[in-house]
Amino acid sequence: MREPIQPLVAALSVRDDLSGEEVRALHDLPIHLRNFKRGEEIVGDHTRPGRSSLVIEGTCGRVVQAREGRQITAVHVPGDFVDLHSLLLKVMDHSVVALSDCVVGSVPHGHVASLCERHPHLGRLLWLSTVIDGAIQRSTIANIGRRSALQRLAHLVCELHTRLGVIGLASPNGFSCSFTQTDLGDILGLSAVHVNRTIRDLRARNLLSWSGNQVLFSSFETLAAFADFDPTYLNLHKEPR
Amino acid sequence: MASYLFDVDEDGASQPAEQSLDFPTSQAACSEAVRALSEIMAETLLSDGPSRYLAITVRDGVGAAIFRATLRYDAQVLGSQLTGTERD
Repeated sequence: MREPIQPLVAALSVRDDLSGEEVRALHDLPIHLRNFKRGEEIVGDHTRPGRSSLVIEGTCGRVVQAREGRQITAVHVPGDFVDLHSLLLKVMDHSVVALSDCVVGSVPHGHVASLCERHPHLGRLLWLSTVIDGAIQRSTIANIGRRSALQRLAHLVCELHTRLGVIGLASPNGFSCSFTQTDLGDILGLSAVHVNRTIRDLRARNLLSWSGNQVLFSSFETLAAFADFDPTYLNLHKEPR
Repeated sequence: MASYLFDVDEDGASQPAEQSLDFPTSQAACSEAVRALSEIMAETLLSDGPSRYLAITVRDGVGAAIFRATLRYDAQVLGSQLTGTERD
């Protein structure tokens, strides 16, 4: 396995240059690695975690359990801190669940706070990551609230491809993803049967194919135009922060 | 959890389920069919012409049909202001 901190370093480095000292400080964080099976809860709702969890391998989702069903409000890929929020919020208002088998590293809140004090620039970059989480949530609300099922799914694929590309986990024409149709429904606010029909329709339009764990498309540009995907909200440019 | 199959029939074009979905009870599987029916109908009303027929049949793990829900939609342009419905 590559260095556990590497996906985080990659994700931060896309947005700003890190000094050698900052990279060393990230590598020196005491990370406790744990393996989770698909479907397992990583952080419980209403708990006080005391540690923040960093996705090392696999994908996780933030889950709000409504009485009528589960809504996955965010998807996290390697390099994402899934509950950096808990450093400040203390009590979780949602849970974090493994959407694939995954490896998660947890870092005690004290060490995260101390890192931010010793390296204010890293502190701002971690702040940036939670701000980008917020931007992704805005985009998700617009996606679910205003786009057709076809566009919603196409938009999610564009976003995942772009985010996975940052950490070297996407190929030019696709990526691996272990979401079930039920997961996709819970992410997109659709019934699983509708997701199934939507995947079939996107395939019939030659926009993408989703078979097993493999998501493939022949032209990202065509798919992005169809989905109305504008990656500005992912803040993928490097500049001093 | 048990597996269920959902066959979708759109305007007479039958699309048998490609894969099964798991639900805790048969009632939950039937509710899923109703939810999907309303979602798919709502999504396609504006783009698929003035008449739509949609049916979803739920089959259990051995393939026996246990529930079917259907929706039929018809729209007519009335009066002289409009000359017809437009397709997207």
